[in-house]
Amino acid sequence: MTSSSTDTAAPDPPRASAGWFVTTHWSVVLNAGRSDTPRAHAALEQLCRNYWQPLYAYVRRAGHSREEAEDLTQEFFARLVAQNTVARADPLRGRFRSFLLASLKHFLANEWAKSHARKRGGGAQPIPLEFDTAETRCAQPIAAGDTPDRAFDRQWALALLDVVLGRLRRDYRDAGREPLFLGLKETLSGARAEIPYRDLGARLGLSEGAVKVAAHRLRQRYRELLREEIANTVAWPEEVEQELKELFAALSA
Amino acid sequence: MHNAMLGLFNLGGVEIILLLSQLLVFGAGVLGFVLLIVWLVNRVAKPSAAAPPVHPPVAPPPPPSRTCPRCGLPLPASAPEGLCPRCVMAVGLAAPTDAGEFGAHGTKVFQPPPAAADIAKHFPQLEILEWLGRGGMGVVYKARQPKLNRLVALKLLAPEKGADPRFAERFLREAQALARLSHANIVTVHDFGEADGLYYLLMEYVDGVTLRQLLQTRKMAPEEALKIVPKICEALQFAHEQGVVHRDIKPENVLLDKQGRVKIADFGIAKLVGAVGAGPALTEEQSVIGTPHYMAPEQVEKPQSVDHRADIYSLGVVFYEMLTGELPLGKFQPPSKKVQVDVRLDEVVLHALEKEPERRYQAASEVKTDLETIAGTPGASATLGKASPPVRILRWRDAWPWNNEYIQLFVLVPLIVVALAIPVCLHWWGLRALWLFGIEVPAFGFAIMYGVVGYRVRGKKAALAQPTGEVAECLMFRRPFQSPGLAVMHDDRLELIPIVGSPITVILADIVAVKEVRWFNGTRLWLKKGFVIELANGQRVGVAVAEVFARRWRARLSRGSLPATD
Repeated sequence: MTSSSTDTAAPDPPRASAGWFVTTHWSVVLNAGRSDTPRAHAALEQLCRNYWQPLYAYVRRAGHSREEAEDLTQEFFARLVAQNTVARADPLRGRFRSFLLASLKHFLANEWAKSHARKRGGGAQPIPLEFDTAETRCAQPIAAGDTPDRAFDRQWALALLDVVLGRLRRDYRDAGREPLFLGLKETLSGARAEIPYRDLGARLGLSEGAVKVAAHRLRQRYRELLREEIANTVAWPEEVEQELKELFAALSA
Repeated sequence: MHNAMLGLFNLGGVEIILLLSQLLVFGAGVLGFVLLIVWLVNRVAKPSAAAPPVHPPVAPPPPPSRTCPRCGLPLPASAPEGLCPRCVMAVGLAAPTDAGEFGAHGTKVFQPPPAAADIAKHFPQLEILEWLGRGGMGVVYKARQPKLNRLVALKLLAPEKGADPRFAERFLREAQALARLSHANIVTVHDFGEADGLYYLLMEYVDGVTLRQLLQTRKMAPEEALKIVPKICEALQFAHEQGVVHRDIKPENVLLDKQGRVKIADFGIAKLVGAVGAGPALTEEQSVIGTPHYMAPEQVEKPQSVDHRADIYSLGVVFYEMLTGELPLGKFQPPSKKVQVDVRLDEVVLHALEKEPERRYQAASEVKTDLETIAGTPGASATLGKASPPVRILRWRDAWPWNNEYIQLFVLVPLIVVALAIPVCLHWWGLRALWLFGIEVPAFGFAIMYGVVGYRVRGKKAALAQPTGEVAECLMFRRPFQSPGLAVMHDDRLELIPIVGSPITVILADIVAVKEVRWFNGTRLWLKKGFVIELANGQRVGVAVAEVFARRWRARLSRGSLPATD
């Protein structure tokens, strides 16, 4: 599925002492905004890899053909990375999600129309993106009143879950416990009272108690990873819960 | 039946009360019975569900279906891990509740902190043991001082601050003030300094939990809150006397060690860290990093000019949260309206939460004094709030023994059978009525009392063994009471023997007037015949007996000569 977008290794955790306290990818990008450091580049590229699908969805929903949308998304990212667009982001109240959407709208409205015919990307290396999956997602029946903005937010939430569940799965795989993850992953989507621990235990060859503990750990780890990943896209840790609520709302719409 | 219907129109005030009360009790009994049946049917229909199920149970791993079995929303193509994204996100909304973290709002820390080994390089005099947590102000490690053989908490302040040349001076001044705060309820600052550009505080290590963690795991009893808050007051009062304002009182900063001792952490650190640099960006950051819900209004508006009364406001918020589990946001209700607490606590909480610092408590010690006064005088005014939050009711229902299926099966079902059987049996035994405090009440709910009363009537009748008179069960009516008993008609007198109280003898010759009335008989739902007898001395007494006796006695009571008067 989306392994290429989830499996890319995170950039090395910064060792400089400043990095201990300004730890999210997005805040790294923001802080480095004007200085154009390689670390900021790496962080931005990582974010783009994880969250380009929502942009593609937005472009598609906005009425562009598949080929056009692919080109536009590529070019948008190429510019985002190559030019220092980020320097325009307001570090005090910025979420990566809102920043990206605003930039994209701006890009679609102005830049692209002007430079349509010119050579794309300003000579920058394009980021390899996997459009097939994105296209499958976009091909979902469109609900009435589904605006490009809403599509963007929903796709964003999906991309986020992709990343988080991918990391979660990788954690378990690295510990040699992928079967456990596969057996228990259903429990990540149900209220606690509904989980048939006994049946799961029978399938996994574990006692009911052991399954309960394992499922609890899985959920704990998942929540941690979810917040960690969201924290990568907001400027301040305090915004995580709010962003989480908004994404949930986007999926519920 | 026709007569009975007509009789309704002759009823007096007391009779109508009788009728209504019987209908009420009977109606309540029927309603309760119907509810029980419905409830039982529900139980039987869903025997496996312990709690009222909202969603259908989880299906075993479903083949990728088009809708989510839980929320019913369509599953997107290539949903992450094949799971419904909405449900997965909903599970994720709940905050992780690992012990040992100090993140703001109970949220998880976001990135791995610098490894203990990295830190150890800078602190050769310490054994860095483990990472404890992260707050708005920096990261905290558990460490050991080998020479003193004691555990300490090492707090590293955000190093960006170190870039400001004025920081060093300010840090020195503030940290010295903090190190002077030696109080049983304040986390002691052992040492502070700067190592390789890292500003640090070396503090007492508290082995326990934060108040936040405590509040997350369970509901706090008001008594517990009343033990903790005065300790916070003592600590605040002491610090305020030393000229130190905490500025960030919140549950995360109230620690409880394993002996239950209260310790306030991070005194003055908000100021120490936040007021540095004073650039607009950092001012903004400070207001974000601080905990707005616990901040006094003046602290949000004019952060530079707060005094100790801001701490008292924050204390009020914490107190409110401890009592109700909620934050006092917007137009909030006083605690006693939400939970069962002494209403006098409302006054304390609201006084601490006054928007104007001038109207607030002026010293933390005043809060403590008020609380001690309340704790010292047993609250006659402890009342149950009218608006208990629904959550609490659910919790109570969860703890209901009825939710245990075995109790349902082996206790409840037999109880219901017995409850139904008793009135039926009593009816077979010929008992007709229950008089309760002078009011005739029908069966179900009072079946056992019904039996007792009936037994006493029959016992009296057997003991009486009257060969000379005609014995009938009767209802005696002497305002304002009526009582059941026996009426014995002799040739010359009527003896009225109540179950409770002294008997009355009515000499037939003394009767000056008789008025016939109808009284309602609770058990049979038709009317009894009765008489109101007026005696020569002005006394009046009412007697109700079964129709057959009434017919036979009518002539004798009125001696066939006196016209019935009104």
